[in-house]
Amino acid sequence: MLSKKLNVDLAEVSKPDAAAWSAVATQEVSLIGVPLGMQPSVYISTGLANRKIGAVSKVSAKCVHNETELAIRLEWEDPNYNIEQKDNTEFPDGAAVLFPIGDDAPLMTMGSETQPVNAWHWRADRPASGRSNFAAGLGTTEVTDDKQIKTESNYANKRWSIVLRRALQVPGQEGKVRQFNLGDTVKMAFAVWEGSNGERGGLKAFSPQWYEIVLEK
Amino acid sequence: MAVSKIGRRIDGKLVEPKRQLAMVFDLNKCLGCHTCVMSCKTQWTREGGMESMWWTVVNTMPGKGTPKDWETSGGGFLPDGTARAGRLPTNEEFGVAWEFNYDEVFHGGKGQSVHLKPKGDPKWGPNWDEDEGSGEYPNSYYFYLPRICNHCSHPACVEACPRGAIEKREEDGVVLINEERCKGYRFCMEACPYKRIYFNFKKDVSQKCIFCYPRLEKGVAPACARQCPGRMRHVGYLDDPNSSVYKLVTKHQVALPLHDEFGTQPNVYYIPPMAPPKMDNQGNPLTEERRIPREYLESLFGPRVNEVLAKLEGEMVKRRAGERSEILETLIVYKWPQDIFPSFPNDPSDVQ
Repeated sequence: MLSKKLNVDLAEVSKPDAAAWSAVATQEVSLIGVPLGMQPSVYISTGLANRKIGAVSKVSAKCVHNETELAIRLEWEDPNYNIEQKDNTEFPDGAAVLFPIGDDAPLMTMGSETQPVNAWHWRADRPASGRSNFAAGLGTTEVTDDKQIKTESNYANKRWSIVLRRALQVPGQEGKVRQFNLGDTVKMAFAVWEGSNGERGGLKAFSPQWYEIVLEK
Repeated sequence: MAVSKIGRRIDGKLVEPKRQLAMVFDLNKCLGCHTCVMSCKTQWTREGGMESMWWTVVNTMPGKGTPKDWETSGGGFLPDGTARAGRLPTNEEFGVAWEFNYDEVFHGGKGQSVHLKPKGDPKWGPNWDEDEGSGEYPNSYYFYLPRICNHCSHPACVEACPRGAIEKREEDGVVLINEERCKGYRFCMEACPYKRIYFNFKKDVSQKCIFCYPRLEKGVAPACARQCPGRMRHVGYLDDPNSSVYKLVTKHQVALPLHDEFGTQPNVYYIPPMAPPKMDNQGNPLTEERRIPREYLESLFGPRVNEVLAKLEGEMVKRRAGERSEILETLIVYKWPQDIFPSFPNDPSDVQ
């Protein structure tokens, strides 16, 4: 998967329906529900063992950069529009991309103590504020920042499309976020939460393999 | 032994606190006045986002309770120890904080023609079925059941949280949610079979009874216990032979857990309610049969409830005959506060 280099201000592609995206190649990504038996919770791994998780089975991904910022566009079909949690039983839709902070990291466990990961997380109830998460294993995610990732989203024709955008380098966040250099080949994985299916936290659909993106020089 | 994030040691055994605090509620003395409820509300849940929270409630039994139908909402553990799936109660089932037509009545000039009432058309509330109970006249019946977080010895909430955000304190077994770790996923709310966990929509975290731990640390009893006009909430360590909790739970074994079959080993115990005999329309006792059906009490407090009620009646007979009864003297609470929460006698106005 190529992160195409655009010679534009990436604010121009910040909207998911920006025209510039139509010229960018799409990576189709298959998603599956997380294996509940792996969750670090006796309640989830046994009590919810029969619950069907992973309502969204595919997501289309695109990626561009302009030598200073990286923008990722995700689009998926979702007949159930969940943008708030005003009742105990309500959960918002969400999506995330995941990067190893170093060269590699175990995907199934969301990193490890020695190989942590960085997740860019968008949630429909806070559409403009992506959250940068650091994780070193299941159940360890920590929000390290809620400003560096800019997000915009659009829901039309029963489809979500969102754009997550961040500077290639975030000074002072070494070891906490993935830093990007031109020419890098970077691993990336994907997750989608379907709010109407009670998906939150570890209950989500995810890509069980890393995809490689190359940042075009 | 190292401790994992989910309240278990690496060898899989539950983490046991050094001591365990417990409460005993004497249901024969509960007035249903809700002073406990208001003292908790005033102390802890007045901030925005907590409007609908009642960390302690007093339910009329039989009744649907708070949240509605909590007894059949799942959660807890099956007899083989595996977790049982639960369901999330809706806001409506917990009871939302109603808004009232204050402006119209007090400032709109309609004070003589319009009643003060909730806006909208509420169909449920946190105490909707108060004093309804069950049975037919003249043998209708009900009793009050105060409920808080049970600070369980096998807390379903602790084992539900995938983030290890809920801890059982080593020094006293109080179960606390760490709001810095909590991300508001509500697995704890689903897993708690007593449904005593609330969701704070403003802070995006779950919250519940904290056993007034900042008061405990100053030798002050929890607000609900200290403010109880009926003096029916005993507080103490289960291993303290001088505490009324020890006497009632361990020594005389007349205090019973609620829904022990939920499998979480709760640390709130109840003195089951006694009741007058059934009577005819003229008010004459019909039989020895009591007005609150035993099978109903068994469904709440287990089969030992019969033995406990017989023991309490026997103790009353002894007292009438002029004999001493440590059980009744403990329940009467002659000296307050030392006889009801001996480890926490301090007056909150005397501590910083």
